[in-house]
Amino acid sequence: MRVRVLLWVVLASAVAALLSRRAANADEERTFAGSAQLDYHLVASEPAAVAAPGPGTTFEGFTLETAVKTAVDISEHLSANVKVCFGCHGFELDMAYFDFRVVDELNLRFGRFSPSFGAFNLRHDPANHMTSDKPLPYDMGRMLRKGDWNNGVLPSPFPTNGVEVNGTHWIGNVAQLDYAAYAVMGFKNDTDPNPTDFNFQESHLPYYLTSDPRPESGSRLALTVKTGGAADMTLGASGLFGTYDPENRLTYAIVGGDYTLRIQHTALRMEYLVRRQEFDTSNPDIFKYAIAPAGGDFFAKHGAYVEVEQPFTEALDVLGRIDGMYRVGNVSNVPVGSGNETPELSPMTYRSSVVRETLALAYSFERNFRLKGSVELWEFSYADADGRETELSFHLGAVGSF
Amino acid sequence: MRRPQVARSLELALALLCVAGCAAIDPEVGPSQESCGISPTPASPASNAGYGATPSSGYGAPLQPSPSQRCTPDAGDPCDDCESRYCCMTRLACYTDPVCTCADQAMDTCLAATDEGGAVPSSQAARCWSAFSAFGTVEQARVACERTWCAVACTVQ
Repeated sequence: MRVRVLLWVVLASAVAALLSRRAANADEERTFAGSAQLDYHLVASEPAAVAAPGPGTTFEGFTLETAVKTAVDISEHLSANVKVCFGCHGFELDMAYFDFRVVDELNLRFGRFSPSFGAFNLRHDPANHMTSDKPLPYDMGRMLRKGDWNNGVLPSPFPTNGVEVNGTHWIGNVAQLDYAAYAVMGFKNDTDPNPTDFNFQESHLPYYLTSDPRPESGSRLALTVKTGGAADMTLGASGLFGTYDPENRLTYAIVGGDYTLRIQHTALRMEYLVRRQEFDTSNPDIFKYAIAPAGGDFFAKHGAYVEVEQPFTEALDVLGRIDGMYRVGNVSNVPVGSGNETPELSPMTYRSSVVRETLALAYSFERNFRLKGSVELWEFSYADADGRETELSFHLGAVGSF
Repeated sequence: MRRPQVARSLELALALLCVAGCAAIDPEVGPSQESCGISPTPASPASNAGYGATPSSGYGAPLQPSPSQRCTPDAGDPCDDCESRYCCMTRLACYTDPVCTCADQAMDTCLAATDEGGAVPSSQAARCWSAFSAFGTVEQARVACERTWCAVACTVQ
């Protein structure tokens, strides 16, 4: 009975919203924003563990991430967002979507966007986090030995085409409940004859369709509790599921939980993600280990981070972070996207891990201009060609926003 | 009285969920191909090419076949000679592939265990060839070539 009443309220609200639409172009509000980060990455163990960009390598030297965004409030219920960014893959349309907000509890989003997953996704722009790089579970290319790992658990952002329903329900003045459910194009690997992992490169090429016709679906639920202006706490859970090969045979599922606590100006953030992904075993030649008769057709990649952010002065922020990943499962001897033509022994093992400790400083010269510096200690569970399991790297960058 | 039963049921359900959940993200693998004596060759220090010898390949160095596994005309026995002469590509493809190299060793062991050491056709030898082919496409390609060009010399079944 209560559900039926709620449905009627939502339906009536939608009809009322449609009828009360104002004329086009009336009171349109436009916002133009942007950011740019130039970062220099120095790896102390050069040149043994780094090389030019490509599978299995590490980006060293300068990298640039820049983006411009326009948001237009067309009416009380309709808004549009377009964001174009430029990074390691060239230009990319990060956002191009419309939001049709019936009520706070019901918003329809359609177009190209990053689906709601985890807490970091909202802060993925370099102007919105204190380090030059992202936490390892969300890494999309800056990590050492990135080709071995094929990036993080869920590279952020991951713009894709689709539709999302989301909303916020306020529970008095102390709590808010956010939800999102979506169906999007998702990840893919259309090129490898025997897909063993996502081919993220395909998602950045000017070929935005996929031969995998079934959409990826997912959802997020988060509860935020506020105690005045001094503290707030958010607890969230996310999950998504889809297939990534042209035949819709190989499934993947990613689930995660996140927790954020802010007391005064101190922020504690922690997230955990795990991706379970099936791979094609029809050609056992490409694997480092023989295929197990049962439970041998998938791998699991776990990732987590804990970080504490503390302002020392009005201009200086300090951040300490511990993050890592753990991959368990068979290992492909061919890099993703290589077409399975050159089998080579992967240095990774059945159970591989990486742990990174980061100490970062961010100094604001002005409100929208910040210098970032960080030192990172990497500990891998397996040795590189020179027998090294520990690496040290440094970031120095500047970020501005408007 | 009812409350403990509900609690116990919940505990049991949670325990089952944990077990099922852990199994769902804990895959299995077979033996490592490195157990066949294959190990990555260190990259040349001067190459500056990531982890492998091939530029921008990133992964471990490609496997290097031993002299007896190349396409040399004096490879050893009639089968090796024939394969080296007519099936060089599929032979090299196998010996540069970790799984195929291991499968080849396993087949040699399998054939040696047959009554005639694999020198004459037999049901035991046929099973060895079938097991080798079942490993993958590289193995199938090698057997197909041997069957076409070296059926007698290699006693392919």
